[in-house]
Amino acid sequence: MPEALSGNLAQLPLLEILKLLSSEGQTGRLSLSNGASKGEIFLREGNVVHAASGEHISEEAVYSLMGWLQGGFRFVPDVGAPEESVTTPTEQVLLEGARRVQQWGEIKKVIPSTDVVFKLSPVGASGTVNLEAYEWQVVARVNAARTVAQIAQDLGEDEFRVAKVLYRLVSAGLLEVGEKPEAPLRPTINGGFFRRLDGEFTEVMGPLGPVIIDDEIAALGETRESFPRDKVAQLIERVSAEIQDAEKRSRFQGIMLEAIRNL
Amino acid sequence: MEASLAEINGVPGVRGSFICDSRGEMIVSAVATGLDAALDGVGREVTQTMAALEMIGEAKSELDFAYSRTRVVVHDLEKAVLIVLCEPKVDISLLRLTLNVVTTRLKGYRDIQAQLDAREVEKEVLRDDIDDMSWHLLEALGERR
Repeated sequence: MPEALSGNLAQLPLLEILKLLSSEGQTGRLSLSNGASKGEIFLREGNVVHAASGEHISEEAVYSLMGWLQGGFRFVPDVGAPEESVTTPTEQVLLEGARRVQQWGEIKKVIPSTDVVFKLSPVGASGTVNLEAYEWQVVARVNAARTVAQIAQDLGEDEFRVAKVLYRLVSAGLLEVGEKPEAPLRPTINGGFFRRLDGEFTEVMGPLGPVIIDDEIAALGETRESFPRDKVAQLIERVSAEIQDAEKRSRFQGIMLEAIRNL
Repeated sequence: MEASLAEINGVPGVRGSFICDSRGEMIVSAVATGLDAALDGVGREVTQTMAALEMIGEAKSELDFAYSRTRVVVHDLEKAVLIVLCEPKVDISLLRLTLNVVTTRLKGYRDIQAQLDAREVEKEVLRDDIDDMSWHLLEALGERR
């Protein structure tokens, strides 16, 4: 095991990272970042003892982080946990995590990305459907324009929980996948900007730089060919979160900020 | 410092920015004139919030207050606090990038650090500004840490 393990969740999912660290009996801090969102999981002798992500803490934070499909991670060994919030045995946490990952696989057959929108079904369910209060909160936000990600953000919930509710409501016949309203044409950025970004980022991160950039572009639901100008700062913020060295990160941000101003 | 504030104010949607000491007193401002008294109030509220968070072991280097008509973004400079007033729909990523770059640069300027050193005051929740119940709650949360 190297002194510090780091990489991208698109290449190595969190479940696999935790299995690896647990099987090796590692102690330390696993930091995760996905744009502006951050999370931390602490292990002691291979056991998960504490986790925090946004509003979530303990086991729920681990499950919430397992819902991230993209983002960077870094494990620093021999860092102690500030508290012990996880009481469930690690084996069970990993089993539950694996179950949720599998559920995600099922859900993705209906909701392939968090960019999907839903509308109320004009036909409705064939039988009686009971809704929990939380499920109603999700239904109330369905308007054929809000995406899964936007509904989750609106409710302050993780995307997995919201997607699970939407999946159930689609299966029950209450909702159907809607067509996203045609977005007005937005100014896009040119290839010259991406050549600059690839070059500067590769200098800091090495040959994997462009791969990480592609992951972050996909996470924003965009492509290099038609990347909107109003998302470019968000992309730079997400990409620079992968740079662990604060000095290098700040220098990279300064260069790219200048490039944004010259667009 | 004025040049740095001007750079921050150049981000579309930013209405003004200012730096105050850890008690909320203005050090330098790039906000439309006539608002100084109101800004002192904002500075005081923000620094008290940061001190309270520190007291309960939840210190933050950034805060983001979203109101219906204004967004207030706060960046801790260690010896002072940078406060940015913006429109609610400001490009927050562009603003954060600009703040990171500008504040890193500020930390490298010795003359600016000397100015901030001269104004450095201890961060603390002012007992007179807070009701008894809130104070006891803060103390209890702080002791739990």
